[in-house]
Amino acid sequence: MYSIMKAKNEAMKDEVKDFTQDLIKIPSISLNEKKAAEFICGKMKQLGYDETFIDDIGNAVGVIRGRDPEPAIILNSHIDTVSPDEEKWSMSPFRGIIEGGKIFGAGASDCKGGLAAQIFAGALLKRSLLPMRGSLVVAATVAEENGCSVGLKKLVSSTLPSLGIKADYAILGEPTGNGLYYGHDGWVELNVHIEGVNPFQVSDAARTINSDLSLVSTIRNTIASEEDMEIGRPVFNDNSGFRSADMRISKRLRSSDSPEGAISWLNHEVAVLTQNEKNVSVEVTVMSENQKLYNGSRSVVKRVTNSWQTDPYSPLMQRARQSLSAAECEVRTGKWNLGKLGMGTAGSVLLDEFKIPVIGYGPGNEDSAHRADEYVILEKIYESVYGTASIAHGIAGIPVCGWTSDEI
Amino acid sequence: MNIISISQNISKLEFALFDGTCGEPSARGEIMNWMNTGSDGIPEMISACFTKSLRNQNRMFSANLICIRVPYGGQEFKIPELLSSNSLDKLKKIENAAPMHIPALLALIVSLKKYFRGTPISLVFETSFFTRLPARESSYAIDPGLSKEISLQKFGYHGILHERSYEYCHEKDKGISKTISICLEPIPEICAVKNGIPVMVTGGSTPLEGLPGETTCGDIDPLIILSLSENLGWGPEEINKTLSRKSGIYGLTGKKMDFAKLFSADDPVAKFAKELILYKMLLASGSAVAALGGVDAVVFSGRYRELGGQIYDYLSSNLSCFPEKHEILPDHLLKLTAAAGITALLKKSKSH
Repeated sequence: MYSIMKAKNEAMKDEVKDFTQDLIKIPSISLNEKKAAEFICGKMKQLGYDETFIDDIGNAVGVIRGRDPEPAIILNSHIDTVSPDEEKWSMSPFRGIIEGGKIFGAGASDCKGGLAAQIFAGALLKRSLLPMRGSLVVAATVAEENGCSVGLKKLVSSTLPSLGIKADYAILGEPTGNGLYYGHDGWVELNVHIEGVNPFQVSDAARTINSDLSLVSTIRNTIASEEDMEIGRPVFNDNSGFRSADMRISKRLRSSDSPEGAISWLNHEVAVLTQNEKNVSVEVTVMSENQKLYNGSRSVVKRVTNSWQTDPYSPLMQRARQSLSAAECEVRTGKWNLGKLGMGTAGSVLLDEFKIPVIGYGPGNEDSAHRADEYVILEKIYESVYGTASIAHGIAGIPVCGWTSDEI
Repeated sequence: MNIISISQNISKLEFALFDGTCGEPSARGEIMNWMNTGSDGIPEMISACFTKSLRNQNRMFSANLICIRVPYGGQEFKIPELLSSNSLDKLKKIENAAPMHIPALLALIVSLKKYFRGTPISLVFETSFFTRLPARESSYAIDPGLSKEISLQKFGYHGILHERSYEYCHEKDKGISKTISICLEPIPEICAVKNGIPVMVTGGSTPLEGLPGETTCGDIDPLIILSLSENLGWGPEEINKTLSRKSGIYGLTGKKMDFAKLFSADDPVAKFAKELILYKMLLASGSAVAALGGVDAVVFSGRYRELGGQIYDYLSSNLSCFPEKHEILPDHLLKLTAAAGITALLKKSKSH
């Protein structure tokens, strides 16, 4: 079985490379994913998926049906990318330039390389003629980077039920360097609103919070390190005789933290810091945004990504490890570092909101994500196609026990 | 009548062209790793091979019948069958039981039908012969409900050669009714045939059960599998790979070696592997004698049938009930497949 998959994967390499390159050439900044979604949908159709369509919210969905509805495994990657700061790039972020075995472009690592690998993993199973027991869904979702998983939520709550599919497991194509990742810290973006009649007191309070919050919290051990928090500059407003200031504060959420806990913590910290400004009121809320998706639908999203962790000894992790090992792929487990606040995956949405066990397995490099000259190594994508297909077959394929001997 | 005979394996597709079934093939060839490239180009490759061979004989290539040897047909295919929509439905139904072979066969059939438009296709199954195994032999001593739920039933996987081996001996001497057929293929198999009916076979629910092969382990304690899972944390894929691809001669010697090389090897490791395999054959032959209540003929078949003499000497020196001499089946699998395929075609014609 694995020798056939390896040979088919080898034969698909050019197709995988071209698709990834073409996908990078289509800009798909959050909330503007229409062209990329149509391109992805067309490719899945061409690759022989049993069903392909764009759902109500704009996700591109491909389905490979097995004999039974269960188990169903979802391969999920987001289509959207953050907006690249082109001045910092040494090349165009939308040309998919290949140099030294790396393909460069916005979203190359996060996570167009992962998306390509997942789409072709389905194709690899099809081309290897390996029958499936359960269903395989490849979901290229919208509004992840700047939408807090609105696309994915719609997929699980509405699109999959309409297909008669209940997701049992999910694999994210987010950048793991083809390691098996089972969680990460979260983050929350909080808004500190300071208001008062005396403009000097409002300014003093805002500047005190801005300059001292990080230091005081570190000294008092209410945050682990200064890197666990990012404090924005205060923005001042004057109206109707009041002066106000708004300040954006991002905070890392460790496994035991919650957004509510973060609000309590910040309320307490700013109360301590502004105790001398008697006539100033301070309110802490979770930031939210009203967003318009590419298909015109609107949604209000809170700027929170919860921390999450799938049990590293769960059946999903165990089967993934076993399948990769049998396929002679590297088996490396770990968690995302989230070097920059504001990054994250849809893992908490799947695991906490929908109770779907989830892991990450994608070719990208986490350190390259959201940065200038973002890249993904081509060989990692090919490896990921094979690895993802092996895991998916281990979970939802018909076992080939006793039949792999060459000649009967 | 030109008959294309095809043998479907995972690593290679063998094919031959017969003018009737009496003589040797007029052309033959094989495509290695055919499943790696897909089935679309296979008919063209077969056609090109035959066209080239026949051109050298100043003949034109044409086909009146295609016969395909299929390793597994389950209980659905009790005899060779001319391809119909019903047989395609039945094949899809048994896909789970042979998930490497049946989907590949279905894809091959699609491309053959497209290329050799209108040419009838006969399917000849290795397991058909074993649908006649007595229940005491084909059943496992576990809850019958469980057996039914996951289709646990013993088969053999070299039925075409075993059936022909019996016929061969019986044609030579009508008094022969109890035959031990020893098929020497990469997964060897021993079958006891009484009055043309199989009564015992070393194969099982999958080809892994039975005698050790070139890379297969043969019979092992079922709890070894649980031990591999629990002690080493292996999943079903790794266990399957180890027992079906890294065991047998390969597992014992650490070398990729076929039966011919094993029997001519001198080193102590290979000698032990040979001794172990011969011993397993001896035990299986003893079981066959017991199932038959005696033995009239011992016949060797398969690609390593020429080793039959050596093996017979060892077995007969340990089993005094063995006949004084052994037989070697001269027929090749592709020829037998063609013959069985014609039978299916004729039967269908008569019924119309």
